[in-house]
Amino acid sequence: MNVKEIKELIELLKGNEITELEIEREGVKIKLKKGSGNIVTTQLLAAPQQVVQQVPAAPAPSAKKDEKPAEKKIDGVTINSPMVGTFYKSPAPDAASFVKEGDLVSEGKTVCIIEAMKLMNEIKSEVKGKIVKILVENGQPVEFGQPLFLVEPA
Amino acid sequence: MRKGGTEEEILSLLRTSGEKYLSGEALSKKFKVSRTAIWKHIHSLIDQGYVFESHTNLGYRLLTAPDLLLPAEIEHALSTKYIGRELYCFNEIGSTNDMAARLTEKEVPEGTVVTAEKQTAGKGRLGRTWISPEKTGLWFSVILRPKISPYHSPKLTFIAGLAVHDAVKKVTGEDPELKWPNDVLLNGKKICGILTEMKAEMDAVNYLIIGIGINVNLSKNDLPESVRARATSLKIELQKEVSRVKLLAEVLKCLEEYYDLFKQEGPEPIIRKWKRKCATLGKKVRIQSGSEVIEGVAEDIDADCSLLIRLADGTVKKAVTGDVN
Repeated sequence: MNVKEIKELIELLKGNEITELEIEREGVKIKLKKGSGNIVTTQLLAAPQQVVQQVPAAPAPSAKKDEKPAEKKIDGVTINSPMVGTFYKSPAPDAASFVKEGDLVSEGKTVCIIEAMKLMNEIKSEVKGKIVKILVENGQPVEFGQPLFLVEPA
Repeated sequence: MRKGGTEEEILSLLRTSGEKYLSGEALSKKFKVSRTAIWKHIHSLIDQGYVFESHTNLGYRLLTAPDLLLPAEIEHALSTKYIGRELYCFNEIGSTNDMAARLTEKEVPEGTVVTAEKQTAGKGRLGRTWISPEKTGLWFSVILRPKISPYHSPKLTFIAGLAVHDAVKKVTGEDPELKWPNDVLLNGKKICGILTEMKAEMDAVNYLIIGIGINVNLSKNDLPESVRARATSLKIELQKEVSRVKLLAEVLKCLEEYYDLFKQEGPEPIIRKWKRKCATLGKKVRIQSGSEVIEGVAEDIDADCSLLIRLADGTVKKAVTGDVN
């Protein structure tokens, strides 16, 4: 992982509701946290592992006006791109998306296609759960290991 | 024709006997069936397009075999070790890629090939249609199970374009060009498209299905007017028909050689060879890559096979997908 990729991750964090992001791959662990300055930590690891994120859900409606809504934390897992390519949310430009935010998916359900050199890779969910957030735009280039979906396991 | 059945054996025997006639009596003795049964098999072969000369006293001899995608014809022409040794030949199906994907649900060996004389739902990228009229082209899919990570698999698609290039050159004498990532062009127009579909885990490829469509004996009228400026066929360019069976056998042979080379030495020798045949490099290109349009000069192929484009401001941009114009 290089500086450019870390910068991209920071950008990803900026444009999202995600406050904390932890990624482990290629022997490197990176933890980013939104707030008073980004904290970047790296450490060596034996093998890439699955990314686990902590993400705040939408604030719960509160009865008292002056009370700050309690932030409910969701333990989410991400579905990551296994290769460099272009992200497609549907099988054809005019076709319906494989999944939408809020959809429940089961293991093996196709969630998107990643294309590189006319090789179409149908990405399947490895978990059963709810698609909390789609982290990339249709037609956007994605990197290896880049989180594509945030899923709240059921 | 049942594989390994009497009919296939009769055909094989008639093929090897060449100019010599084989009598109905001799055949009936050899296969321990009645002469009527032999006569029925011969007529079934005639229905499939085989042409025999029959002589009341002498028997039968094979004059010509049809240029059809029949297992017996393909196997006869094939010289591979494993690609195409398991064959599924259809007259008409939706898409050979979809059928191949269905076949992977059970245990099929690596190198299994699915062919169709006609596809009713031939596929291109992003839900596009691939025109596949009956008995004119080669519409087929090859199932591979490479032991590589999905990260590296796009490089493997380059072996297919090269294999088609080599096979067309061998069979017709013409020297086609390759367009990034894997179209094959003759006289600047597309004669072959390749669409690969993959099923993979994060770190392992379950299977790759390489779908190859070659416009062999299509006439101008077989191609919709909207694509005639960009697409052509071998027959249109050469003004003569090309044997589809021979071409298919040659593509599969080249594909196997390049796949073995990829397994032994990785993608570098493939990319080096591919670059020499590439028509895209050095040209001004405009690429629709996902939601982005990149314009510039195609400068090189990166180690990961993506296209490097030099923009007007001097910077270099990488494209991993897209239509090159």
